[in-house]
Amino acid sequence: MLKNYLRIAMKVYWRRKMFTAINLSCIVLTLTVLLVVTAILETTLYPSGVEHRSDRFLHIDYFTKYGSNNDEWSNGLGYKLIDQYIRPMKTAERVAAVTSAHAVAVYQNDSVEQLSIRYADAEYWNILDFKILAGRVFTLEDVEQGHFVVVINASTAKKLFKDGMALGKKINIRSHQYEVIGVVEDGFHSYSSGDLWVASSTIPSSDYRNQLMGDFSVLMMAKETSGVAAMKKEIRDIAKTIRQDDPAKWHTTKMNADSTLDSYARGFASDSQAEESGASEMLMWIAVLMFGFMLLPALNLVNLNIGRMMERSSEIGVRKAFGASRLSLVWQFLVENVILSLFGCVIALIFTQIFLIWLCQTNVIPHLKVEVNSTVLIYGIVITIIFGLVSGVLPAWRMSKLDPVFALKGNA
Amino acid sequence: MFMHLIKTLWKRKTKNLLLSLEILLIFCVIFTVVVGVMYNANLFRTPLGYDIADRWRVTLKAASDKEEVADPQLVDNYRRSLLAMPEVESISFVQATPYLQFGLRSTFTVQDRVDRQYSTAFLSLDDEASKALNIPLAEGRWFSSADESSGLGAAVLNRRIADTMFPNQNPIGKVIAKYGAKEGKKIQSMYKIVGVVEQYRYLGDYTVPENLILLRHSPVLSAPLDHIVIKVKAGTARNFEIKLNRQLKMVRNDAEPRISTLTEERADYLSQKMMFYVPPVIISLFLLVMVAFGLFGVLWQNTTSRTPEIGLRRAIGASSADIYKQIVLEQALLCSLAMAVAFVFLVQLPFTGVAEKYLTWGSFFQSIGISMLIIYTVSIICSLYPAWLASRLSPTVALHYE
Repeated sequence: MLKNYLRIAMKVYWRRKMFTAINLSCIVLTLTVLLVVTAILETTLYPSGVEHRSDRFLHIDYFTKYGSNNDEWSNGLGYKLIDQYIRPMKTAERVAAVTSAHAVAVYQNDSVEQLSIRYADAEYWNILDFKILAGRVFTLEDVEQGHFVVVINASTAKKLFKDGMALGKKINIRSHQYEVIGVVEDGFHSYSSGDLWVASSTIPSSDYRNQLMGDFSVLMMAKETSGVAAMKKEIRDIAKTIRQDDPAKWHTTKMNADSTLDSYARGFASDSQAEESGASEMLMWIAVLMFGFMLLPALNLVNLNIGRMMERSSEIGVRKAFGASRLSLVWQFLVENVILSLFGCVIALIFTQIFLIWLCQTNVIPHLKVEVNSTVLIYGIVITIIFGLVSGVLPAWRMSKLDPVFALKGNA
Repeated sequence: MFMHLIKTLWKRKTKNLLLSLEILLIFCVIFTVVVGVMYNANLFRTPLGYDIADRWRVTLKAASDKEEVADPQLVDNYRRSLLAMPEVESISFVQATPYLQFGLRSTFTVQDRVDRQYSTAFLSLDDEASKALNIPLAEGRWFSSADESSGLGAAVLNRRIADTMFPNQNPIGKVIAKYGAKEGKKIQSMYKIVGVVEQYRYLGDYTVPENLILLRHSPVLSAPLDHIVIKVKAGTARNFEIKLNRQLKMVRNDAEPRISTLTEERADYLSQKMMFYVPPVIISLFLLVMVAFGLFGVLWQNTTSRTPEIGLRRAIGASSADIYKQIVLEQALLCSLAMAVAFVFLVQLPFTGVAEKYLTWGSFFQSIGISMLIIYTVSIICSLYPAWLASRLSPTVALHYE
């Protein structure tokens, strides 16, 4: 039966090529917008590439201390806080400390390059999975000895050294000579972005070792995905044990270990240190918004479809006269509509890919790498089927209501 | 003619209802975008209250929660050393340069009127800031060393807070107070108003004008060392940064100056804002194009399904121009009805004042007008070809249709 529906659908669409083209372009426009949004959200909330282990690691970017008079202070983590309280944690397999990416000017010969730099420890390279293009990344030994070595990313290597041969060269960063020991691929996510990486032990002043507040984030990785919940809990317990430098003024400390999704959701939450990040609410809102966006295009298609089905009233009359039930007619039109939508989806996927390639090349977001992957494909098909059903059900229902006598005469 | 149009619309009410619902929705979408674009374009056109060309920013230390006062000697060393460079015209030490995401707010009162409190943003600058950033004064004067001996601090108000605090009075010479707490004790700082600026929107081109009080920081008592604004001679090359960096290092070797030009900072700021502003506009344009496609398709189909009706009209004497006019006018009427309904909903916005910040009555009608123009244009363009097709139908063919 389905095969028959398919053949009829093909015939019908082929007969009125112009209308099919209009229908299809509406579907393609809608799905392209939705797919681009899906692809960008997917790569932001569930990073792949360098941060592909993000389902196993959590991060803390800041803690909040509470004092009397409702005083509240949120700040990045200091190295002491990480070293003293977080490194000894039991549920994490690895703990890494890394600063946010600072702007830094690298002066070479007579040119200035504006780059961004991160200070990190050796574990950073074990949690994030950078492709090493040349040389090596710095090791525990480099960090402990305070070697002035730097790892740079591919585009920086191209920028700083015209021939691209960076290994062994020296660059001057904040008036220290650093030797390039490795070149890694470009990253663009929260923790993998940056152009230069140097050992945290080369920070000019050693004050940072005694500070609870600072500019560090901490990444912690569990052995496997299931260990993430235990890490979240342990971090909340650890926060209770933290003693601030001025315990009379600041009596309570709170912090939360978040996944990438959590930290975005927390941005919308009223209490930034609530136990639940509100990730599921955020995902629900995204779904609602996308569905809402679909409504106008769906209404548009409903209008087009109703018109098209009126033209087929004689076909419907015949089908009804030979005893087709209303349900089977509704079913037939829905199948037709979903098939057209799926065809639109294929074209939309191609457009999406082209758009994303263009977006990556414009460098609006540095080193952005986003493409149509299998997850986006699956979401795309789900979105398409929902869209096909929403836009098909009303015309199909109206059509199936037609009186066969009128329908056969062809004037609906 | 008009009644006839209404009748034909009513005859096909279910279909037209869906069609007009679609027009209503796209009208609301376009209206929202127009309001947003107008609001931001308006902000963008508002003067900033300072110049950025040939201005450089040096950041000497990161923000911290400790109130540190730098050694006045050190500040003076920086000043001398920078002014000694031939490219430098003037320099100013400020708490925050333009295009830094920096906001301090507090409550100020007029002297002896503790009951009236005004929440406002504030920022401290030094005596040279007016020169280095070219801040034009509307009334009074900028800070100067004459303010050192008065015993009070000095303040420059923006027009907005000046008018709120002192309606119909000259604010110059009045004294305002700021309350704060230090080590558990309440302290009060008094400032004498020396000048008024129209505005100083230091957060950037898209910031909403709000209350702002500029305070003077004295180079002797509270030397700040956060940011330096440097006005260089026009035409100074970008690699002046290398020289500037060397000069700053000579004053203090362990400092980590971060150097950028305000022009670059502005470009950064604008591109960041654009990342938020451009996608909604693009998406609604997509929607509009799609609705246009849809309207075109539906109208075309309508012409086909209305062949007998049109044929009959031709047969009883309507000219092809009449038919053409009928189709286009029907579409325009349908749009008008849909937009009238939308208007009833949208007029609630300025009426109840929910979107007061973005929408005054004036800008409301302007936005409605622009959106209406867009919708009429698009829908009439979409009806031209179907109307032309319909007008060309020969009555003989049309009457034989079936």
